[in-house]
Amino acid sequence: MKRCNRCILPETYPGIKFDQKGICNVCQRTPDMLELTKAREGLKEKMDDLIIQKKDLSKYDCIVAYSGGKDSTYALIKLVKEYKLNCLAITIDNGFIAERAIENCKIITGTLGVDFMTFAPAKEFMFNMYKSSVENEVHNKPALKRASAVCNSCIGLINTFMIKTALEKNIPIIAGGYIGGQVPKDAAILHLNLDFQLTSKKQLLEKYEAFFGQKASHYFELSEEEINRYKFEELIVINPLLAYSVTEEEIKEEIKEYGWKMPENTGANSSNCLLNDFGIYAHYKKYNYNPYIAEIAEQVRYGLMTKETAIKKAETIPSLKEVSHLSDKIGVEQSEL
Amino acid sequence: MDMMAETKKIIFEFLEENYLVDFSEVKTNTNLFKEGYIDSFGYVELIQFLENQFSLEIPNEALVSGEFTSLDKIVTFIEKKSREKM
Repeated sequence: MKRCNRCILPETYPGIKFDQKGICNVCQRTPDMLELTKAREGLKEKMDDLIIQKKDLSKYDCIVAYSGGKDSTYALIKLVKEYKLNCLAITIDNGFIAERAIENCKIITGTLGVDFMTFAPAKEFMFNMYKSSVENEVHNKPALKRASAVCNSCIGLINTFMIKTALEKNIPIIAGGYIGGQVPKDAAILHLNLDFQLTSKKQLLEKYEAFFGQKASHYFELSEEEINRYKFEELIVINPLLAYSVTEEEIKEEIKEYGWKMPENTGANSSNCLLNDFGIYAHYKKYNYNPYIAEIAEQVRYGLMTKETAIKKAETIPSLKEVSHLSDKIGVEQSEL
Repeated sequence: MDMMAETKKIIFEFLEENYLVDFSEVKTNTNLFKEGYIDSFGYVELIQFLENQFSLEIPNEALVSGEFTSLDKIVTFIEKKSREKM
């Protein structure tokens, strides 16, 4: 398998081209590591200033999409301990959260003293959503460069829920635990255009209802009333990890101090979700690249992961035998895979 | 190559590479959002690219005005803003 000499993106990655030195077109558009680190520091400063402006305007300063995984745990700790924000942590139980991840949510929010809520969408809907996501072309190819089809559906549901809750409770900031490669660099700070969100979600809803059923509107719809009731001019989304230069190992070391423990059964690329390996298997089978490769490559570009570790991660693809119990659970015939 | 043609080429290549738009099948006035080529994160990437590439600041109101929905509209907007800067 031919890979970029800088970031290890494979030749099977959609839209990839290599120059004569074996450097891919994504790297050619990306500054060198020093520039990237400086840019990251710049993002941190912007985030610092923004948070100061938005603090103490509401009962909660920030609502955090908290999966119980290592990245969102790190983000939550930073927001509470470093920025002193009054956070509301929300976990969406997607039907496949590892028991240890749920335990981590309780321990971490307890230790930090933050309010914590869980929302569990109906399992029937979720399982059908996952099944349909794998069996149909629900998501566009660029979205599939960032995450598997099942993850894209789940993330879309979570994002909508977070926006709706922030609007309902008049919270000025939504924080996520995304890292580089999962989302664009500039998603460190997003000034969410609510009118654009309304329009784009309306367009998507038609598609989601067709694939997931009429109940998709419960989970993917935003209304004008919700936006009009919101007391702030804008809703900000931050992904703090995009502003920190920190390795996976450093994250794990720090969050362990707060009682976090790694679940044993969530696979090589997740620290909270049991369905993740199924998503990777289905994606790799169809598209011949690991759905985490963009994230892994970005970590390499930033010097936060060695190429050797990155290749090992990228090439760790679960077998059908390892994920068949998951495909059975959501009703995907193995012949479909 | 004149400036407009150069601008078009740059944006064309960006859309092709990042959003896998095949312009042999897609028209230059196709609504790329409606057709599912660009989602909300893709939109962030697009705006960032345009601002950096052409040294512009894109105002909030432009983001919902439908000015970035197709290659043709994006080129027209960038050309207009670039002329205003001069």
